[in-house]
Amino acid sequence: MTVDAYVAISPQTASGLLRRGLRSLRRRVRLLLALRLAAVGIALIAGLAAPAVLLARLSGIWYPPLLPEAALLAALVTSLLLGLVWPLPDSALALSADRRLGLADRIASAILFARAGLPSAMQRAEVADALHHLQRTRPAEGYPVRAYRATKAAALCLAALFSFQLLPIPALFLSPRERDEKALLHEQAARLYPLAQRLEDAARENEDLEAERLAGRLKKLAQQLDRGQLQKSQALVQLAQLHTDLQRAENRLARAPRRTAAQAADDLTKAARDNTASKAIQLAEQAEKSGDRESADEFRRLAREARRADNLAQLQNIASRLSDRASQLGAPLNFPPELLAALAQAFADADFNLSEDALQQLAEASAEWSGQLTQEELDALADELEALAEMLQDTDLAEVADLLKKAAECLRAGDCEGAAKYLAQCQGKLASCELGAACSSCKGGLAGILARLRGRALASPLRATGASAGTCAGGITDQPFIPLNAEAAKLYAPRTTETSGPLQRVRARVGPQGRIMAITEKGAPVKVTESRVPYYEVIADYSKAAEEALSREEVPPTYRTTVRNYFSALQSGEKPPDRQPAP
Amino acid sequence: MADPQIRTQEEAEQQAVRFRQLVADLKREVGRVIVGMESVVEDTLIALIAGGHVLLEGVPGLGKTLLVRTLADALDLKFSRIQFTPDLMPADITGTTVLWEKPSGEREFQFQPGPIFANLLLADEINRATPKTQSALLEAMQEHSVTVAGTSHSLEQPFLVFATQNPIEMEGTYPLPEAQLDRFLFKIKVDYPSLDQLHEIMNRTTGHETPTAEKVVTREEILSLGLVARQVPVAQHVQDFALRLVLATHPDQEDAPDSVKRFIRYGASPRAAQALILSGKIRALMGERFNVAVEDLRASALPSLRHRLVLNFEGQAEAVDPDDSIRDAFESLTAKSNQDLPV
Repeated sequence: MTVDAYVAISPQTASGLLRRGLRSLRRRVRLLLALRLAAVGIALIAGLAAPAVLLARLSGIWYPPLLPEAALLAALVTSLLLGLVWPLPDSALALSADRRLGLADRIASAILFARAGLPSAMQRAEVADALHHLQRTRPAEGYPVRAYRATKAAALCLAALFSFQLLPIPALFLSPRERDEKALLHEQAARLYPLAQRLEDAARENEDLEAERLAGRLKKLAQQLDRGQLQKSQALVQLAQLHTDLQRAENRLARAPRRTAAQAADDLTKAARDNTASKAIQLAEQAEKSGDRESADEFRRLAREARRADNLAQLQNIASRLSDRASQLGAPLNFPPELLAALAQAFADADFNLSEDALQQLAEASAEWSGQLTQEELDALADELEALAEMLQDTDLAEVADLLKKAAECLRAGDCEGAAKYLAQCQGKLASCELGAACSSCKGGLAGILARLRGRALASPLRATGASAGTCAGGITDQPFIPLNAEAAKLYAPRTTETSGPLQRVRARVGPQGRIMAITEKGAPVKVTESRVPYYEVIADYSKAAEEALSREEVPPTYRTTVRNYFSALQSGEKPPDRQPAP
Repeated sequence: MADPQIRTQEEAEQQAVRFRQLVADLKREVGRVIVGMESVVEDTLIALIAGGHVLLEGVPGLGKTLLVRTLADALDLKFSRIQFTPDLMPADITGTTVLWEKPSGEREFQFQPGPIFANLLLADEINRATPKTQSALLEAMQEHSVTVAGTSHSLEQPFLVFATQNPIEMEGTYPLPEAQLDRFLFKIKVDYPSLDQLHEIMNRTTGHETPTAEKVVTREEILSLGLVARQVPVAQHVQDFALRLVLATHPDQEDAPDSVKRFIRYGASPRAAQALILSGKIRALMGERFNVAVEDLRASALPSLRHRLVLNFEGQAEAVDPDDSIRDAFESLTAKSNQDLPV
């Protein structure tokens, strides 16, 4: 009883005071309500989604990857909002609080008396007593946060959902075909990782954000393939998309159609050999003129070794020895012969580190040319730089070629400092070339993986034991497998048809997931054959499309058995049944 | 007597404090003589404040008479005891008129009041008297007056009857009819004391000094306590619960539990609801509250209802205790009305 602190209660203020007193209780109850509703919502959604996800994964049905999470988030937000707007009348709250906090109907009675206008003094005293107790209550004592059954159910359902989503499907639940597919994807993932890593390293070095993002996507794809989170059709779609994006990146990083790296490596190797040999002969003649027969013989020997060098490493070694020997004799080579070999090596291995070192040496040396070399010697150097620029013109180092040309112009003009500046800039361009090479390498790797995945379209019983059937003309896919029971399959082997038109690329739509590149011969065939597309490329996709059409009831019921028998016969390698009239 | 009407909040709070103080004094004083029996003492005090009569049931020697006598001492009330026997006449209770000779030699009839003219009357073993004698007492209980030879004599307030019944000697007795039982506010069962309590009783009553109660509350104060208690408000939902509880003791009602439907013939009357509410108000003040709570009703349910339920044949044959049916009714109502929030 409130004797120590007298609070005068009037009919006008009683209701407001009580409502204020109930505020903290109401907040607490709303919070608990929101939590409980959230637990119920999550349990419901996760409980429905988990078996659906499991079914989808086992059946190979595609679903948006984040759909369950989006539904969970929507359920959570809805539950929280519901908890906030749930009707909580004062009387219900008061009754609950009285019961839970042991207040012996004080609050509920006070609210009723306040509504009645507090006609008696005793009622006013009662309201004051109730307020006094409300102030002393701690809502957490009456409304503790506890683990509802729904919370435990939600946790279980969430655990089930995430495990069904993320964990790989055990092999026990997979058909032999699916197991083979999974193994294939796992194998391709192992090939994809190093490509992605290389691209990422090159992108970081070049500070190219787009390339870094591409590398991230490649890595993520490799991860998903490794964990068995993707089906083959999904992997094909993503790989095809990445292939396109890499092509775009490659085009961005390169300028014009150029020679292949192999061709540039060949030219540079030949030039390195000739340059090293000719310099060695020049030095031999100079040594003979000065009476140094020993050095002359040594230079001639180096010339012979250069011409006979089997590999670039050997050639670089010879060029390096030539430079050293020339320096010892007091006739240093202003244009290092090992630069050409280093560049050739760079193109051969797609590793520009060595060439970077060589270019750096050249740049450092060029700073000392001024005052040391005559104009004739500068012109000779300019010729060598221009010759090198010509060799690099249509390659990934096209920008380096431009810089070399500018350096050559500076040398002809007698501006050694300017030449040194241009040569120093060459190093920066190598990084982007490295990235371009990495993109090309990735793209090539992806093309190989795509080809491999498309090539393995059959179930394992039909796996080939023998040689490859070779590539079809104009096709980009390999056909590594020939079914054992190949009588009917031969009917669907690709055949070359005589055409009068040029070959064209054709986009083929194989399923609702997207498009897959396929190349066929197209033109005006002389005669029509039974198939123009390799059997192994399309049978799985067509079978799946047929099954989906059957399940979506797009095929009339009377034809369903016929369609199913047809594809079953194809897959088993038997001759398909004769066309049966509809019943 | 001072104006009992409480007009201000402050006055209400002061009266409540005074109420608690007086009740605590009474309890303390009674506790000096009576060992244990806290719930009996409390129920007795509640009945006293409410102005209701009490039926005490217990085996002999438990201190029923001592309790009432001690109360009378503590309250400075006139105490009277009647031992009911089968040959007791109504006039032995109410009094009679006798021929009286004045000093002048004139004779007239003069009313000699009987033992009923007291504030606290202990009617021992009321079930041993004949129904005619019982009715004389019961009329006084109801009317608070006695009519002898056509003249009505009022009984001084407070007038409270504490009747006792011995539950083990029912042979040759005249059980009170249900209509008469209904006049009692409470029926209190006096239980046997525990071993520790027996020790204490021995220590107090077999020594050279026997404790007695001192007067702590006056007659006027007791009356004013009752008036203050009647002003305690009852919330609608609590009163609703009390009435539903009374209705739940009727076998034909929807809220009645299975045990009521099976063993009870007639349920409690509206007097039971009055007893519940009135005793609930007194308990609220004793519990430092200004409102009657459901837990007050729970505490008063058994003493208020147990003597008002009439067992049917099956109930009698099974020797069903009405207390069980009352508890069932209370629990079933509590379960229905406790619709808590879903958190």
